[in-house]
Amino acid sequence: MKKWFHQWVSPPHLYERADRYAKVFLFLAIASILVALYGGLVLAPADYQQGDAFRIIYVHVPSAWLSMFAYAFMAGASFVALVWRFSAAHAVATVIAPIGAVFTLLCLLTGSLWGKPMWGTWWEWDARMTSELVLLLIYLGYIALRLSFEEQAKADKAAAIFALIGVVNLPIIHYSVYWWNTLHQGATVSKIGKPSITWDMGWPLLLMTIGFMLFFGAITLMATRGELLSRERRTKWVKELVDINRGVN
Amino acid sequence: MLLSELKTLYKLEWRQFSRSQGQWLFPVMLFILVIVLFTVGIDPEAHRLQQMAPAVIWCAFLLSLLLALDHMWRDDYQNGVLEQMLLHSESPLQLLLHRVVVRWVLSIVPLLLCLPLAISMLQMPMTIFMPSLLALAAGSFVFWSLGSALSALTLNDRRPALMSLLLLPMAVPIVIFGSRVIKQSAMGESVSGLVLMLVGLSILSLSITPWIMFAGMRLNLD
Amino acid sequence: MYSLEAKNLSKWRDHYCVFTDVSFSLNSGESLWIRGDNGAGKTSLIRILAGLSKANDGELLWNNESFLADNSSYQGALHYLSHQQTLIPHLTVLESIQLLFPMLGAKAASDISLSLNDVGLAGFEQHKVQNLSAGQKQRLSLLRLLLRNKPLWILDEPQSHLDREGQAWLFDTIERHISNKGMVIIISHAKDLPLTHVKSLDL
Repeated sequence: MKKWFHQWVSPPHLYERADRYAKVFLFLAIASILVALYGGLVLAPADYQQGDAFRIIYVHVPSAWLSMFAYAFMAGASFVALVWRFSAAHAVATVIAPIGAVFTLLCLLTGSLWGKPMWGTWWEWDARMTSELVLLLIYLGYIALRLSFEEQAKADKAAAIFALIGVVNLPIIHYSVYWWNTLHQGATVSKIGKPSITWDMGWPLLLMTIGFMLFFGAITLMATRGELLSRERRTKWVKELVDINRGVN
Repeated sequence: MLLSELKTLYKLEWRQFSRSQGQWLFPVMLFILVIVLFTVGIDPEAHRLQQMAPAVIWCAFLLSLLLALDHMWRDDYQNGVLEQMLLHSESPLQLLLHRVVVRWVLSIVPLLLCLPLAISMLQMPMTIFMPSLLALAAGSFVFWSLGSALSALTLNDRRPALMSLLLLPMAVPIVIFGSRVIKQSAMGESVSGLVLMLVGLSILSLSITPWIMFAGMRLNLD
Repeated sequence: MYSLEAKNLSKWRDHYCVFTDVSFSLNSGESLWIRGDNGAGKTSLIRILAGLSKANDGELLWNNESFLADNSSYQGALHYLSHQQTLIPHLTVLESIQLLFPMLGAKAASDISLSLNDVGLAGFEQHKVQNLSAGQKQRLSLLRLLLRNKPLWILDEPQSHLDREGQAWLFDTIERHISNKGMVIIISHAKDLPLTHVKSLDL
C-alpha cells in the first residue's frame, strides 16, 4: 500500500495522471455548473422575500464552501508533505493557496453584491463575511511567507508549518467571530430571514457546489502540473519530456 | 546546571533590557500615540470614548507589542548567538522558552503601568483596571507566544512587517474576548469566564509554540 | 580516543549542488584543514559537521556509529566557532564571559584575569564589546574554546582579524589541543598551516 502510494505521488507519475483527471474533472464541472445554472436561474422560483436577488447564492455559497475546503485541503497536503516528505504534496499546497484565495475573494464580492439590495450596504459585518475576510488575509499571509524565501525547500517547510498553525487558529477565529456577531444582534430578528430553501431552489445549489468542487479539482491538478514542471525542471524526466515534445513539433 | 543557566539568562536579559538605549520606551510611546490618534479622529464625548475604549486599548496594546516582538530572535540570529545557543546550551528548549516568558514580562509591565493613564484618557471607570489587567496579560501572552514562533519562522526575511502580517489575523479572537472583558467590567458584569477563556487560549498557544519555534530556527539556520 | 568519519556527503540547495561526494576520516590527535575557493561549500560542510544543517546524502560516523539515530553524544563532544564572532555588542568583556558564554555552554571561568591574560585582553574587562577592535573581538570569541573543554573543535576561519601574535597564540593553542588527543577541523585561507598532523581536504 505504502509503496503503491509512493509511486503514485512521484512527480512524473503524478504529472502524467493529473492531465487525464483534470480533463475528466473539467468536463464534469462544466456540465454540472451549466445544469445548475439553468436550474438556479430559470427553473427555481423567485424567493418570496428577496425576489431574484437571492439567486446570487448559487455563486456565493459554493465559493464560501470552497474557500474553506481549499484551506483544509492545503493544510492536509502540507501535513502529508511534512510528515512523509512527499515533495509533490508541497507542490499541491503551493498551487492551492492562490486558488483558495480567489474563491475567498469571490465569496466576499458576491456577498457584498448580495448585501447591497438586502442590507442596503456593500459591507455588513456579518459573521460569515468577517471570518471569510480573515481567511483571505491568512491565505495572503501564506503566499507572502512563501515568497519571502529564496530556497524552495525552506519555503515549502515554513509555509507548511504556517498552514498547520492556521488549522488550529481558523476554528477559534471562526467561532469567536460568530459569538461576537450574535452578541450585538441580540434578541432582534436578523434583518433578513434565511431564505427558506425548497427543493426547487436546493438542488441547483447542491449541484453547483459539486460543480465548483470539480472545477477546483481540475484547476488544482492543472496548476500542479505546471508547478511540478517548474520545480523539477533540472531533472531527467522533465528534460526527456521537453525533448519528446520538441521532436513532435 | 539548568538552574544556573536560567539565572544567567535572567541576568543577561535584564542587562540587555536596561542597556537598550531607551528602546523599552518605544512600545509605551506607541501605546499612548495610538490612543491619542484614535481620539483626535472622533468627537471626544464621554459616551463615544467609552464605546471605543475597549477596542482602542486592545489595538494599541497589541500593536505596541509588535515593536518588541521584532527583536525576539532577530538580533541574536544575526550575530550568531542563536545558533550557538541551540548547539551548545545544556537545554536549549527551556532556555528559549524562558526567554519568551522573560521578554513578555519585560514588555508588558511598562505598558500595564500606563493602563490607568489609558483608562482615564478614555474616561472609563477605574473599576475596570483589575479585570482589564488580567485580560491584557493573558491575551498578550497568546499574542506574544504565537508571535515568537512566527518570528522564528520568518527570520530569513529582513522585513519586520511580514511577521506582523502573519500574526495579526490570529489576534482576532484575542481582541474579541479581550474587548468584551473591558466592556462587561465597565457595566459591572462578571468577566471571570472570559478571562479564563483567554488563559485557556494562552495555554493552548504555549503548547504549540515550542515546536514551531524550534522548527523555524532550524530551518532558517540551515 | 575518538574518531569521525564522513562518507560521500552531498549537499544540495534546490537544484544547485553545493558539494558532492566528500569523504574523510579523522582520529584523535589529528586535524583536518578544509581548503577551497570562495563559494566552494566550506562553510556548508562545516555546518553539517556541527549539526546545524543536514546533508542530503551520505553518512557521518562518530566513533564508528552513525549519528543519524542518536547524535547527543556527538553534539556533546564538539565546539563550533562560526565565522561570526557571536558576541553581543553592548555587553562588556567581563559580562560576555560571565553571562553570555555560560549560556553557550561554557563553564564560568575560575580565574577570569588569567584567561583574559591568555588572549591578551587583560585590562579590558569593563570595555564594551562594541568598542573593541575586530581582532580583539575575535580573541574574546576564541576564549570560549578554552572555557569549554570539548574534544572536537570545528573552527570557521579562526585566524581572521588576528595579528601575527594572535595567530601564533591560536595555532599554539590548537597544537596543544591536538597533542592532548583532541581533534580540530579548520577552515583557513592561509597558504600554510603551522600545525603538525594536518590532513587536508580540498573542496
